[in-house]
Amino acid sequence: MVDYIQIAWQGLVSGFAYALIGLALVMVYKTARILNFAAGTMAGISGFLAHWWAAEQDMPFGVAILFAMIMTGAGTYVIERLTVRPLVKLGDFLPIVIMTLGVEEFLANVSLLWWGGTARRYRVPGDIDRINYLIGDFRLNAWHLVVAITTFLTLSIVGYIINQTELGLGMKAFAEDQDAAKLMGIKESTVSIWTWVLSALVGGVTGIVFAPVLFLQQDYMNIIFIKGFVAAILGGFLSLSGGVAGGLLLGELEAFTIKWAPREFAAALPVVIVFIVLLIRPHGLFTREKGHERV
Amino acid sequence: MSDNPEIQENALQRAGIPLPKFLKKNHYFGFLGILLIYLLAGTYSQYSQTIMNTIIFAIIGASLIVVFGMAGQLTLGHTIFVAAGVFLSANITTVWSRGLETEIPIAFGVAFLLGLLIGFPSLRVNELYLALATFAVAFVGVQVLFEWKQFSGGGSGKPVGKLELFGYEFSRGPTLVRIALILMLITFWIVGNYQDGRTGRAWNALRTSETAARAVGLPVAWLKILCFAIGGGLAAIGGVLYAHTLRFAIPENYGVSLSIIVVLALIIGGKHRLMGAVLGAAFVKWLPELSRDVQEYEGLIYGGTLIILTLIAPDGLVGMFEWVADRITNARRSEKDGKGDQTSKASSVPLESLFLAPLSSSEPKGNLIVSNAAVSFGGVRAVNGVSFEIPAGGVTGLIGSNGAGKTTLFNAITGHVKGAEGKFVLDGIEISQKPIHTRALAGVGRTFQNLNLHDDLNVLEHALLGLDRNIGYGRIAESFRLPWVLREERNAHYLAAELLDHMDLLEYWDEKVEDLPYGLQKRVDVVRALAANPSILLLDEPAAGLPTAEALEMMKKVQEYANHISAGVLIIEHNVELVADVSDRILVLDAGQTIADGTPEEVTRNEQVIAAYLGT
Repeated sequence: MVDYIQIAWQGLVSGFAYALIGLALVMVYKTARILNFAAGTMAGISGFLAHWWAAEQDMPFGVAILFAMIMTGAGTYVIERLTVRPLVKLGDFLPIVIMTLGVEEFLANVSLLWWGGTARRYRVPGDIDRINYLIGDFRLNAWHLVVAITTFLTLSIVGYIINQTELGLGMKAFAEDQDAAKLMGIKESTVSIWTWVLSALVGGVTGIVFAPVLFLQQDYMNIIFIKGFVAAILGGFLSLSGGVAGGLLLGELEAFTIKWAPREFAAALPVVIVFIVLLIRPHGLFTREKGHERV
Repeated sequence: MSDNPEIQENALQRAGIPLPKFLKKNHYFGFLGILLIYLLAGTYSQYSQTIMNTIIFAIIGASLIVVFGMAGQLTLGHTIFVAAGVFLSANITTVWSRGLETEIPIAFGVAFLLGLLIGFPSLRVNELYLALATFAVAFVGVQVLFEWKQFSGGGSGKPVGKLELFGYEFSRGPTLVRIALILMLITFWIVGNYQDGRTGRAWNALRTSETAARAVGLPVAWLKILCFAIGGGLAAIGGVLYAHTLRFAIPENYGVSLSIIVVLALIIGGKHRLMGAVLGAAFVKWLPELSRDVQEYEGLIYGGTLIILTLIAPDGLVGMFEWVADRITNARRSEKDGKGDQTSKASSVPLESLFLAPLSSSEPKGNLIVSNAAVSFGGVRAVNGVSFEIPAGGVTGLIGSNGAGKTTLFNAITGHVKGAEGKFVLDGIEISQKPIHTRALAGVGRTFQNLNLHDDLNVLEHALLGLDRNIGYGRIAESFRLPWVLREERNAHYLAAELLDHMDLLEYWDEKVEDLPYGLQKRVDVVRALAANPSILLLDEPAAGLPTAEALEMMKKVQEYANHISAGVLIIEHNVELVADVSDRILVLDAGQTIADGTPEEVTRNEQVIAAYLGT
């Protein structure tokens, strides 16, 4: 029994990562109908910056995180203005997707040049990630607890922003109907850029908080990015809560598959899920099918 | 009267439309280039490795042109096909000890089947989703390979056996380059033939407007899956060569980063042209050769180049060169045009020409029975139980105020709206519940209110798209440009030219549709529908936005053609005067229901109609 709880908890922790990245992807897709391929790399760079500043540049951990978040926000702001914005008025999304691929390639190589290709493991303050509590036979890693708390905090903050602020209202308006939102005087470029920044910050938090769980390697967030995408598909890609729920579900599925299925299958699980969901419920597990397509 | 179209005065010759030929100018250039490298491969053997990589990337790029350049499916999982080629090659050469004659067919076949599978999600999702779905395929593909140790050798990889062909062993180096060049020639030949043939045209059409491609009767779903299968198969040939160049197959080389690099290379080179595949491959493979510094910043440069090119030259390096070349030729042409050498308008009647005359039919078709058609959007019943019958061969007008449900009724008939209830029978064949393209092939032709044209395609190609169903060559014959492919293509060109002549579009045959004035674009929309030889033609506001005189003239031409092929016409129009002029009968819709049905005189006097229109 404890075994199952242990696996379920493990799945939940990975699920947090998928949920957060899923949320970040859905956010941008929903408001701007853009997929950001650089999201994983951007999140990875945030994580690297924070831990590198803290461990190698002797910055206090909190300050390092703060700086990393500021860098993430500012960097995203610049990237969106320089690369995405000029293409939006063309009205075709394909060049934008290609652009984010170019940004991905560029940033991945910047971080490769900066930190090299080898995996690193930085210490966190108080070595929390090495502390394990034993509750009966159930082993609880202290850092996993930090991960859980951070996830809940992040989700609450995002929920607050979306439901209680003007930005959130603008995002919802754009998600509903781009043209109508523009006619109502909501400025598209303002909503878009803050959505990008918010999404990148959520990614950044994920990168920072999961760095001690995974090894810090140049492309360590890519796998989380893929799975966050699978989470978003599970949730139908247009629902924020669906993306989060999809992430948690994927985490659990994965944890139990690794336990029982052969490794080849466990590795293929995300793609299998993508195919099955697209086949049976392309609109996601948790949302109802949307109406018609206009000709 | 001569049966030989070559010496007949016809529209095609008057407009100077070149006939499809077996070899074009590009073929000679390409062949010369490849021959040159073939001969020089021995002399510059120190570059063999780089040349080899360039060729492999060019082949992979050409295969991506099929999937991405033509069909417009952004795939980031393309390396899975390359990996299939590489590891099949490693296994075939070591386990079976067989040579290229076995490797290439098997690699092509397996990757083809894999492509059918991977192409599948493209049916369910939009391109944006697809990009990520294929990204996931690439990502997970490597992991599966990594774990499938028996096939891939796991993390340490698998050695590749000898380079053999029918038992003859070849040395690597220049010989491998020569073999690769021959394979490149074949792949380029195949991709080039698709570009010139009906499949490429159909792919281009579905890329630019899927809705319209369906409406003209193209099997969009099959075409999408097919592009992945063909693209995948060709990429696997590149994979086989890659295996022999590297001589060792390691799973982790075929992951997401390679997938992204091949896409970047093609986009940098130019995704619509074979030359783009070559330029992209050369860019990616020769840049690191320049110096060690460049090597270190390789990825940075690719990413940066892509960012800059996407902003300034979306069609890549080839696009830039073509743009420059266009400006030069345009400058020259405008000098010539000044002297005024207009092609004389011929006196011949296109409908009586050798090509359109056989389409004439005295048997009226297009008998459409609509019973209890209903469509609802949420709680709104846009079409609410409409029933009527349209007799074969006549012109029927469909009028009604805005929001009366006219276009929705059209969409219900053609299948463009989901969940339409009711029964539609065309000439005795039930078409309700069928997919859009099946209804189109059954004889439903339509135009669109908001002009669903294919940007990037010229006027002639729009007509040829309509003719696609009459072109009778298979896709395998097409890939090798067999003689009957050319014959069919030529016939289609003749026919298309006459049709353009009839609609007074002949002189614009070469123009991209997006450069045409609105009135001519409307005609192109009509031509595409007419070329398909429909039984019934549904025209959605053909006159909207046109001066009445121009609209009347166009309608006259359409009517002439419809009479010629004895097709029925159903026309939505707000211009009551025009409808009354052309129609034998008018149906009036209001709030999703028919409120009047009769001759133009009856309908215009009907009080209910007047009330609905004037709001009294």
